[in-house]
Amino acid sequence: MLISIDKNDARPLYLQMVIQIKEQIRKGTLKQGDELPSVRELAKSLGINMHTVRSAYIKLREQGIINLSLGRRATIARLNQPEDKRAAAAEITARLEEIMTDALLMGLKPEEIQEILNRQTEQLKNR
Amino acid sequence: MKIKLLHPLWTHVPAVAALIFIIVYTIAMGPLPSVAPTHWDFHGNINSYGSPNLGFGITVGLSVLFIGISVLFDELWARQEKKKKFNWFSLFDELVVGFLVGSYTGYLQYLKSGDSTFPFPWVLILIITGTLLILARILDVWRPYRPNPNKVVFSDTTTLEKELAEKIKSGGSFVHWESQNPWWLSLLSIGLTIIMLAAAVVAWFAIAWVSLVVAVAGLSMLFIYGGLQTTVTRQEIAVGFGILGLKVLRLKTDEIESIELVEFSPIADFGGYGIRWNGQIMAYYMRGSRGIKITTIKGKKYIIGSDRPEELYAVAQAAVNKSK
Repeated sequence: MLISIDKNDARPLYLQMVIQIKEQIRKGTLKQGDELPSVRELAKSLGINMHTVRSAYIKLREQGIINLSLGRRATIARLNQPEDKRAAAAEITARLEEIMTDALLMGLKPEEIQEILNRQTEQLKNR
Repeated sequence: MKIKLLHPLWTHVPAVAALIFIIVYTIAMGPLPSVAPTHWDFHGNINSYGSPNLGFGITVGLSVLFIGISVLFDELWARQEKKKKFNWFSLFDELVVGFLVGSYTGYLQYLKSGDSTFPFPWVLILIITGTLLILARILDVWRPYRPNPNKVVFSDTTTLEKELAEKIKSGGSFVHWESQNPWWLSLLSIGLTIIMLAAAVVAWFAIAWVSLVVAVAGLSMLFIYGGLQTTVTRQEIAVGFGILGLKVLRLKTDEIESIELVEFSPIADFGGYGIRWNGQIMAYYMRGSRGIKITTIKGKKYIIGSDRPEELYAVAQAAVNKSK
Protein backbone atom coordinates (compact mmCIF):
# COMPACT_ATOMS: atom_id res chain seq x y z
CA MET A 1 0.00 0.00 0.00
CA LEU A 2 1.29 3.42 -0.93
CA ILE A 3 -0.16 6.49 0.74
CA SER A 4 1.07 10.00 0.17
CA ILE A 5 -0.15 13.15 1.80
CA ASP A 6 -0.21 16.29 -0.29
CA LYS A 7 -0.23 19.39 1.87
CA ASN A 8 -1.25 21.56 -1.11
CA ASP A 9 -4.35 19.44 -1.66
CA ALA A 10 -7.45 21.22 -0.33
CA ARG A 11 -9.17 17.93 0.52
CA PRO A 12 -9.06 16.68 4.12
CA LEU A 13 -6.20 14.28 4.86
CA TYR A 14 -8.51 11.37 5.68
CA LEU A 15 -10.25 11.77 2.32
CA GLN A 16 -6.90 11.76 0.49
CA MET A 17 -6.16 8.43 2.15
CA VAL A 18 -9.59 6.97 1.39
CA ILE A 19 -9.34 7.92 -2.29
CA GLN A 20 -5.81 6.50 -2.64
CA ILE A 21 -6.74 3.17 -1.06
CA LYS A 22 -9.82 2.86 -3.30
CA GLU A 23 -7.72 3.78 -6.34
CA GLN A 24 -5.19 1.05 -5.53
CA ILE A 25 -8.01 -1.49 -5.19
CA ARG A 26 -9.40 -0.39 -8.55
CA LYS A 27 -5.98 -0.77 -10.19
CA GLY A 28 -5.52 -4.20 -8.63
CA THR A 29 -2.48 -3.15 -6.58
CA LEU A 30 -4.39 -3.97 -3.42
CA LYS A 31 -6.22 -7.28 -3.47
CA GLN A 32 -8.82 -8.94 -1.29
CA GLY A 33 -7.25 -10.10 1.96
CA ASP A 34 -4.27 -7.73 1.73
CA GLU A 35 -3.39 -6.32 5.11
CA LEU A 36 -3.21 -2.64 5.98
CA PRO A 37 -0.93 -1.15 8.67
CA SER A 38 -2.27 -0.41 12.11
CA VAL A 39 -3.70 3.04 12.76
CA ARG A 40 -0.79 3.92 15.03
CA GLU A 41 1.86 2.71 12.62
CA LEU A 42 0.38 4.54 9.64
CA ALA A 43 -0.10 7.77 11.60
CA LYS A 44 3.51 7.63 12.82
CA SER A 45 4.90 6.91 9.34
CA LEU A 46 2.97 9.77 7.75
CA GLY A 47 3.50 12.15 10.64
CA ILE A 48 -0.23 12.79 11.07
CA ASN A 49 -2.76 12.40 13.86
CA MET A 50 -4.07 8.93 14.71
CA HIS A 51 -7.65 10.24 14.55
CA THR A 52 -7.15 11.14 10.89
CA VAL A 53 -6.11 7.58 10.02
CA ARG A 54 -8.91 6.15 12.15
CA SER A 55 -11.44 8.36 10.34
CA ALA A 56 -10.17 7.06 6.99
CA TYR A 57 -10.39 3.44 8.11
CA ILE A 58 -13.88 3.93 9.57
CA LYS A 59 -15.04 5.55 6.33
CA LEU A 60 -13.66 2.61 4.35
CA ARG A 61 -15.30 0.13 6.70
CA GLU A 62 -18.65 1.90 6.39
CA GLN A 63 -18.40 1.51 2.64
CA GLY A 64 -17.58 -2.19 3.05
CA ILE A 65 -14.13 -1.80 1.50
CA ILE A 66 -12.07 -2.95 4.46
CA ASN A 67 -12.62 -5.27 7.39
CA LEU A 68 -11.79 -3.93 10.83
CA SER A 69 -11.69 -6.17 13.86
CA LEU A 70 -10.22 -5.73 17.30
CA GLY A 71 -6.66 -6.97 17.72
CA ARG A 72 -6.16 -7.73 14.04
CA ARG A 73 -4.84 -5.72 11.14
CA ALA A 74 -7.36 -4.18 8.77
CA THR A 75 -7.77 -6.16 5.55
CA ILE A 76 -9.17 -5.38 2.12
CA ALA A 77 -12.67 -6.80 1.86
CA ARG A 78 -14.66 -5.79 -1.19
CA LEU A 79 -13.28 -6.41 -4.62
CA ASN A 80 -16.13 -7.89 -6.59
CA GLN A 81 -18.52 -5.87 -8.68
CA PRO A 82 -21.87 -5.44 -6.87
CA GLU A 83 -24.44 -7.99 -8.02
CA ASP A 84 -27.27 -5.45 -7.91
CA LYS A 85 -26.07 -2.80 -10.37
CA ARG A 86 -29.31 -0.82 -10.09
CA ALA A 87 -28.83 -0.37 -6.35
CA ALA A 88 -25.19 0.69 -6.92
CA ALA A 89 -26.32 3.19 -9.58
CA ALA A 90 -28.98 4.59 -7.21
CA GLU A 91 -26.36 5.06 -4.46
CA ILE A 92 -23.96 6.86 -6.81
CA THR A 93 -26.80 9.05 -8.14
CA ALA A 94 -27.67 10.10 -4.59
CA ARG A 95 -24.03 10.94 -3.85
CA LEU A 96 -23.67 12.87 -7.12
CA GLU A 97 -26.83 14.82 -6.39
CA GLU A 98 -25.35 15.99 -3.10
CA ILE A 99 -22.03 16.93 -4.75
CA MET A 100 -23.79 18.77 -7.59
CA THR A 101 -25.97 20.70 -5.15
CA ASP A 102 -22.79 21.72 -3.30
CA ALA A 103 -21.25 22.80 -6.61
CA LEU A 104 -24.30 24.92 -7.49
CA LEU A 105 -24.22 26.48 -4.03
CA MET A 106 -20.55 27.33 -4.61
CA GLY A 107 -21.62 29.26 -7.68
CA LEU A 108 -20.60 26.85 -10.45
CA LYS A 109 -22.81 26.69 -13.54
CA PRO A 110 -24.26 23.36 -14.76
CA GLU A 111 -22.01 23.54 -17.86
CA GLU A 112 -18.94 23.93 -15.66
CA ILE A 113 -20.00 20.95 -13.55
CA GLN A 114 -20.48 18.95 -16.74
CA GLU A 115 -16.97 19.92 -17.87
CA ILE A 116 -15.49 18.76 -14.57
CA LEU A 117 -17.33 15.45 -14.86
CA ASN A 118 -16.08 14.92 -18.43
CA ARG A 119 -12.50 15.75 -17.45
CA GLN A 120 -12.58 13.34 -14.49
CA THR A 121 -14.05 10.55 -16.63
CA GLU A 122 -11.27 11.00 -19.19
CA GLN A 123 -8.62 10.94 -16.44
CA LEU A 124 -10.03 7.69 -15.06
CA LYS A 125 -9.91 6.08 -18.49
CA ASN A 126 -6.24 7.02 -18.92
CA ARG A 127 -5.08 5.79 -15.50
CA MET B 1 -1.90 -16.73 -14.93
CA LYS B 2 -1.71 -20.48 -14.90
CA ILE B 3 1.46 -21.65 -13.14
CA LYS B 4 3.27 -24.30 -15.12
CA LEU B 5 5.27 -26.98 -13.34
CA LEU B 6 8.84 -26.90 -14.57
CA HIS B 7 10.63 -29.87 -13.22
CA PRO B 8 10.38 -32.95 -15.42
CA LEU B 9 10.63 -35.18 -12.31
CA TRP B 10 13.40 -37.23 -13.86
CA THR B 11 15.53 -37.41 -10.71
CA HIS B 12 12.65 -38.91 -8.72
CA VAL B 13 12.09 -41.86 -11.05
CA PRO B 14 14.54 -44.19 -9.17
CA ALA B 15 12.81 -43.51 -5.84
CA VAL B 16 9.37 -44.19 -7.34
CA ALA B 17 10.73 -47.35 -9.03
CA ALA B 18 12.12 -48.59 -5.69
CA LEU B 19 8.75 -47.95 -4.04
CA ILE B 20 6.95 -49.91 -6.77
CA PHE B 21 9.54 -52.69 -6.40
CA ILE B 22 8.95 -53.09 -2.65
CA ILE B 23 5.14 -53.18 -3.12
CA VAL B 24 5.44 -55.85 -5.86
CA TYR B 25 8.07 -57.78 -3.83
CA THR B 26 5.83 -57.81 -0.73
CA ILE B 27 2.86 -59.08 -2.76
CA ALA B 28 5.09 -61.73 -4.39
CA MET B 29 6.21 -62.90 -0.94
CA GLY B 30 2.66 -64.05 -0.26
CA PRO B 31 0.72 -63.53 2.98
CA LEU B 32 2.88 -62.49 5.95
CA PRO B 33 2.40 -64.07 9.40
CA SER B 34 -0.06 -62.18 11.61
CA VAL B 35 2.55 -61.92 14.40
CA ALA B 36 6.27 -61.59 13.77
CA PRO B 37 9.32 -60.01 15.47
CA THR B 38 9.25 -56.24 15.10
CA HIS B 39 12.08 -55.06 17.35
CA TRP B 40 15.57 -56.30 18.26
CA ASP B 41 18.36 -55.33 20.61
CA PHE B 42 21.86 -54.32 19.52
CA HIS B 43 22.89 -57.96 19.18
CA GLY B 44 19.93 -58.77 16.91
CA ASN B 45 17.91 -60.63 19.57
CA ILE B 46 14.12 -60.22 19.45
CA ASN B 47 12.61 -58.01 22.16
CA SER B 48 9.18 -57.23 20.68
CA TYR B 49 6.49 -58.88 18.52
CA GLY B 50 3.73 -57.36 16.38
CA SER B 51 2.19 -57.24 12.93
CA PRO B 52 4.76 -57.22 10.07
CA ASN B 53 2.30 -55.05 8.11
CA LEU B 54 3.40 -52.15 10.32
CA GLY B 55 6.82 -52.19 8.62
CA PHE B 56 5.15 -52.19 5.20
CA GLY B 57 2.94 -49.24 6.17
CA ILE B 58 5.91 -47.24 7.51
CA THR B 59 8.02 -47.99 4.42
CA VAL B 60 5.32 -46.99 1.91
CA GLY B 61 3.97 -44.04 3.93
CA LEU B 62 7.35 -42.45 4.63
CA SER B 63 8.52 -43.10 1.05
CA VAL B 64 5.50 -41.29 -0.41
CA LEU B 65 5.99 -38.41 2.05
CA PHE B 66 9.69 -37.94 1.27
CA ILE B 67 9.18 -38.28 -2.49
CA GLY B 68 6.56 -35.53 -2.20
CA ILE B 69 8.89 -33.25 -0.20
CA SER B 70 11.75 -33.87 -2.63
CA VAL B 71 9.54 -33.14 -5.68
CA LEU B 72 8.37 -29.90 -4.04
CA PHE B 73 11.95 -28.73 -3.35
CA ASP B 74 12.97 -29.68 -6.87
CA GLU B 75 10.12 -27.70 -8.39
CA LEU B 76 11.05 -24.61 -6.34
CA TRP B 77 14.65 -25.08 -7.42
CA ALA B 78 13.76 -25.50 -11.12
CA ARG B 79 11.73 -22.27 -11.12
CA GLN B 80 14.81 -20.33 -10.07
CA GLU B 81 17.32 -21.99 -12.38
CA LYS B 82 19.09 -19.43 -14.53
CA LYS B 83 21.13 -22.23 -16.11
CA LYS B 84 21.09 -25.97 -15.56
CA LYS B 85 22.53 -26.76 -12.15
CA PHE B 86 22.37 -29.89 -10.05
CA ASN B 87 20.13 -29.75 -7.01
CA TRP B 88 21.39 -31.97 -4.18
CA PHE B 89 17.93 -31.83 -2.58
CA SER B 90 16.63 -33.93 -5.48
CA LEU B 91 18.54 -36.91 -3.99
CA PHE B 92 16.71 -36.58 -0.70
CA ASP B 93 13.99 -39.08 -1.65
CA GLU B 94 16.48 -41.63 -3.07
CA LEU B 95 18.41 -41.49 0.21
CA VAL B 96 15.35 -42.06 2.41
CA VAL B 97 13.54 -44.49 0.10
CA GLY B 98 16.78 -46.46 -0.41
CA PHE B 99 17.18 -46.87 3.35
CA LEU B 100 13.51 -47.83 3.90
CA VAL B 101 13.32 -50.24 0.96
CA GLY B 102 16.68 -51.82 1.89
CA SER B 103 15.61 -52.29 5.52
CA TYR B 104 12.21 -53.72 4.62
CA THR B 105 13.63 -56.06 1.94
CA GLY B 106 16.10 -57.37 4.55
CA TYR B 107 13.21 -57.78 7.01
CA LEU B 108 11.15 -59.77 4.48
CA GLN B 109 14.13 -62.04 3.77
CA TYR B 110 14.59 -62.50 7.52
CA LEU B 111 10.91 -63.50 7.93
CA LYS B 112 11.30 -65.95 5.05
CA SER B 113 14.46 -67.50 6.54
CA GLY B 114 12.92 -68.08 9.99
CA ASP B 115 16.22 -67.23 11.78
CA SER B 116 16.12 -66.26 15.47
CA THR B 117 18.45 -63.24 15.12
CA PHE B 118 18.04 -60.35 12.69
CA PRO B 119 21.28 -59.21 11.06
CA PHE B 120 20.58 -55.56 10.12
CA PRO B 121 20.92 -55.44 6.29
CA TRP B 122 23.54 -52.64 6.04
CA VAL B 123 25.07 -54.07 2.87
CA LEU B 124 21.69 -54.38 1.13
CA ILE B 125 20.78 -50.82 2.19
CA LEU B 126 24.09 -49.47 0.88
CA ILE B 127 23.69 -51.30 -2.45
CA ILE B 128 20.06 -50.17 -2.98
CA THR B 129 20.64 -46.57 -1.81
CA GLY B 130 23.89 -46.26 -3.79
CA THR B 131 22.22 -47.58 -6.96
CA LEU B 132 19.29 -45.17 -6.56
CA LEU B 133 21.63 -42.20 -6.00
CA ILE B 134 23.77 -43.03 -9.03
CA LEU B 135 20.69 -43.52 -11.24
CA ALA B 136 19.19 -40.23 -10.05
CA ARG B 137 22.44 -38.39 -10.79
CA ILE B 138 22.62 -39.91 -14.30
CA LEU B 139 18.99 -38.98 -14.96
CA ASP B 140 19.70 -35.41 -13.82
CA VAL B 141 22.47 -35.18 -16.44
CA TRP B 142 19.93 -36.24 -19.08
CA ARG B 143 17.09 -34.03 -17.95
CA PRO B 144 16.49 -30.97 -20.12
CA TYR B 145 16.78 -27.41 -18.82
CA ARG B 146 13.55 -25.46 -19.17
CA PRO B 147 13.57 -21.68 -18.84
CA ASN B 148 10.91 -20.50 -16.43
CA PRO B 149 7.78 -19.45 -18.39
CA ASN B 150 6.21 -18.17 -15.16
CA LYS B 151 8.92 -15.52 -14.84
CA VAL B 152 7.54 -11.99 -14.61
CA VAL B 153 9.62 -9.12 -15.93
CA PHE B 154 9.91 -5.98 -13.86
CA SER B 155 7.71 -3.17 -15.12
CA ASP B 156 8.87 0.41 -15.62
CA THR B 157 8.94 2.49 -12.45
CA THR B 158 9.92 5.87 -13.93
CA THR B 159 6.43 7.43 -13.79
CA LEU B 160 5.87 6.49 -10.15
CA GLU B 161 9.37 7.72 -9.20
CA LYS B 162 8.70 11.11 -10.85
CA GLU B 163 5.29 11.38 -9.20
CA LEU B 164 6.81 10.70 -5.78
CA ALA B 165 9.71 13.09 -6.37
CA GLU B 166 7.17 15.86 -7.06
CA LYS B 167 5.33 15.06 -3.83
CA ILE B 168 8.56 15.10 -1.86
CA LYS B 169 9.46 18.48 -3.34
CA SER B 170 6.10 19.89 -2.28
CA GLY B 171 6.86 18.80 1.29
CA GLY B 172 4.28 16.01 1.52
CA SER B 173 4.81 12.79 3.39
CA PHE B 174 4.40 9.27 2.07
CA VAL B 175 4.59 5.67 3.19
CA HIS B 176 4.88 2.35 1.41
CA TRP B 177 3.70 -0.47 3.66
CA GLU B 178 3.26 -4.11 2.88
CA SER B 179 3.15 -7.35 4.78
CA GLN B 180 4.27 -10.82 3.80
CA ASN B 181 2.19 -13.05 6.00
CA PRO B 182 1.58 -16.38 4.23
CA TRP B 183 -1.06 -18.80 5.54
CA TRP B 184 1.54 -21.45 6.38
CA LEU B 185 3.26 -19.09 8.81
CA SER B 186 0.02 -18.59 10.77
CA LEU B 187 -0.56 -22.35 10.70
CA LEU B 188 3.00 -23.00 11.90
CA SER B 189 2.75 -20.42 14.63
CA ILE B 190 -0.62 -21.53 16.02
CA GLY B 191 -0.07 -25.25 15.33
CA LEU B 192 3.33 -25.40 17.04
CA THR B 193 2.03 -23.42 20.00
CA ILE B 194 -0.87 -25.86 20.50
CA ILE B 195 1.38 -28.94 20.09
CA MET B 196 4.02 -27.60 22.50
CA LEU B 197 1.46 -26.54 25.09
CA ALA B 198 -0.11 -30.00 24.91
CA ALA B 199 3.37 -31.52 25.31
CA ALA B 200 3.96 -29.22 28.29
CA VAL B 201 0.77 -30.48 29.97
CA VAL B 202 1.90 -34.10 29.48
CA ALA B 203 5.45 -33.30 30.68
CA TRP B 204 4.08 -31.56 33.80
CA PHE B 205 3.36 -34.93 35.39
CA ALA B 206 6.93 -36.12 34.77
CA ILE B 207 9.35 -33.19 35.10
CA ALA B 208 7.86 -29.80 35.97
CA TRP B 209 10.79 -27.62 34.84
CA VAL B 210 10.88 -29.30 31.40
CA SER B 211 7.15 -28.62 31.12
CA LEU B 212 7.71 -24.92 31.84
CA VAL B 213 10.53 -24.66 29.26
CA VAL B 214 8.33 -26.34 26.62
CA ALA B 215 5.37 -24.06 27.50
CA VAL B 216 7.51 -20.91 27.22
CA ALA B 217 9.01 -22.16 23.94
CA GLY B 218 5.50 -22.92 22.66
CA LEU B 219 4.15 -19.50 23.60
CA SER B 220 7.17 -17.82 22.00
CA MET B 221 6.08 -19.36 18.67
CA LEU B 222 3.14 -16.96 18.75
CA PHE B 223 5.56 -14.09 18.16
CA ILE B 224 6.17 -15.20 14.56
CA TYR B 225 2.42 -14.80 13.88
CA GLY B 226 1.98 -11.78 11.63
CA GLY B 227 4.95 -12.31 9.30
CA LEU B 228 7.16 -9.55 7.93
CA GLN B 229 6.13 -5.93 7.44
CA THR B 230 8.10 -3.53 5.25
CA THR B 231 7.75 0.21 5.73
CA VAL B 232 9.37 2.91 3.59
CA THR B 233 9.09 6.56 4.59
CA ARG B 234 11.09 9.69 3.80
CA GLN B 235 13.40 8.93 6.73
CA GLU B 236 13.89 5.17 6.74
CA ILE B 237 13.36 1.72 5.32
CA ALA B 238 12.33 -0.69 8.05
CA VAL B 239 11.35 -4.33 8.32
CA GLY B 240 9.23 -5.46 11.26
CA PHE B 241 8.62 -9.04 12.31
CA GLY B 242 5.89 -10.94 14.06
CA ILE B 243 2.84 -10.04 16.05
CA LEU B 244 4.66 -7.26 17.89
CA GLY B 245 6.17 -5.81 14.72
CA LEU B 246 9.67 -5.83 16.24
CA LYS B 247 12.03 -3.96 13.94
CA VAL B 248 14.59 -6.43 12.61
CA LEU B 249 16.00 -3.97 10.09
CA ARG B 250 16.14 -0.20 10.21
CA LEU B 251 18.05 1.74 7.57
CA LYS B 252 18.16 5.53 7.42
CA THR B 253 17.61 6.65 3.83
CA ASP B 254 20.67 8.94 3.94
CA GLU B 255 22.86 5.91 4.80
CA ILE B 256 21.87 4.08 1.61
CA GLU B 257 24.26 4.02 -1.33
CA SER B 258 22.15 2.23 -3.95
CA ILE B 259 18.95 0.27 -4.51
CA GLU B 260 18.23 -2.20 -7.30
CA LEU B 261 15.40 -4.49 -8.34
CA VAL B 262 16.46 -8.10 -8.01
CA GLU B 263 15.21 -11.62 -8.55
CA PHE B 264 16.68 -14.23 -6.24
CA SER B 265 16.29 -17.90 -5.49
CA PRO B 266 14.96 -18.50 -1.95
CA ILE B 267 16.20 -22.10 -1.94
CA ALA B 268 19.45 -21.87 -3.92
CA ASP B 269 20.60 -18.45 -2.66
CA PHE B 270 19.39 -18.50 0.93
CA GLY B 271 18.22 -22.03 1.67
CA GLY B 272 14.63 -21.17 2.58
CA TYR B 273 12.29 -18.40 3.71
CA GLY B 274 12.29 -15.95 6.59
CA ILE B 275 15.21 -13.86 7.81
CA ARG B 276 18.27 -15.35 6.10
CA TRP B 277 22.00 -14.75 5.88
CA ASN B 278 24.11 -16.29 3.12
CA GLY B 279 27.49 -14.98 4.24
CA GLN B 280 27.25 -11.83 2.13
CA ILE B 281 23.68 -10.63 2.10
CA MET B 282 21.02 -10.43 4.80
CA ALA B 283 17.62 -11.21 3.32
CA TYR B 284 14.06 -10.69 4.59
CA TYR B 285 11.17 -12.41 2.80
CA MET B 286 8.35 -14.84 3.49
CA ARG B 287 7.29 -15.63 -0.06
CA GLY B 288 8.11 -14.92 -3.70
CA SER B 289 11.50 -14.44 -5.29
CA ARG B 290 11.57 -10.74 -6.15
CA GLY B 291 12.43 -7.66 -4.19
CA ILE B 292 15.01 -4.92 -3.79
CA LYS B 293 18.68 -5.11 -2.97
CA ILE B 294 20.01 -2.32 -0.79
CA THR B 295 23.68 -1.44 -0.46
CA THR B 296 24.60 0.94 2.35
CA ILE B 297 27.40 3.50 2.31
CA LYS B 298 29.34 1.16 4.60
CA GLY B 299 29.01 -1.62 2.00
CA LYS B 300 26.46 -3.80 3.82
CA LYS B 301 23.96 -5.57 1.58
CA TYR B 302 20.31 -6.41 2.25
CA ILE B 303 17.51 -7.96 0.23
CA ILE B 304 13.90 -7.18 1.09
CA GLY B 305 11.34 -9.42 -0.62
CA SER B 306 8.14 -7.89 -1.90
CA ASP B 307 4.87 -8.78 -3.61
CA ARG B 308 5.04 -5.39 -5.36
CA PRO B 309 8.78 -4.93 -5.94
CA GLU B 310 8.38 -2.13 -8.50
CA GLU B 311 6.38 0.01 -6.08
CA LEU B 312 8.80 -0.74 -3.25
CA TYR B 313 11.75 0.14 -5.50
CA ALA B 314 10.20 3.41 -6.74
CA VAL B 315 9.32 4.58 -3.23
CA ALA B 316 12.67 3.57 -1.76
CA GLN B 317 14.50 5.21 -4.67
CA ALA B 318 12.50 8.43 -4.23
CA ALA B 319 13.23 8.43 -0.47
CA VAL B 320 16.97 7.87 -1.05
CA ASN B 321 17.22 10.48 -3.85
CA LYS B 322 15.64 13.03 -1.52
CA SER B 323 18.61 12.62 0.81
CA LYS B 324 21.20 13.15 -1.96
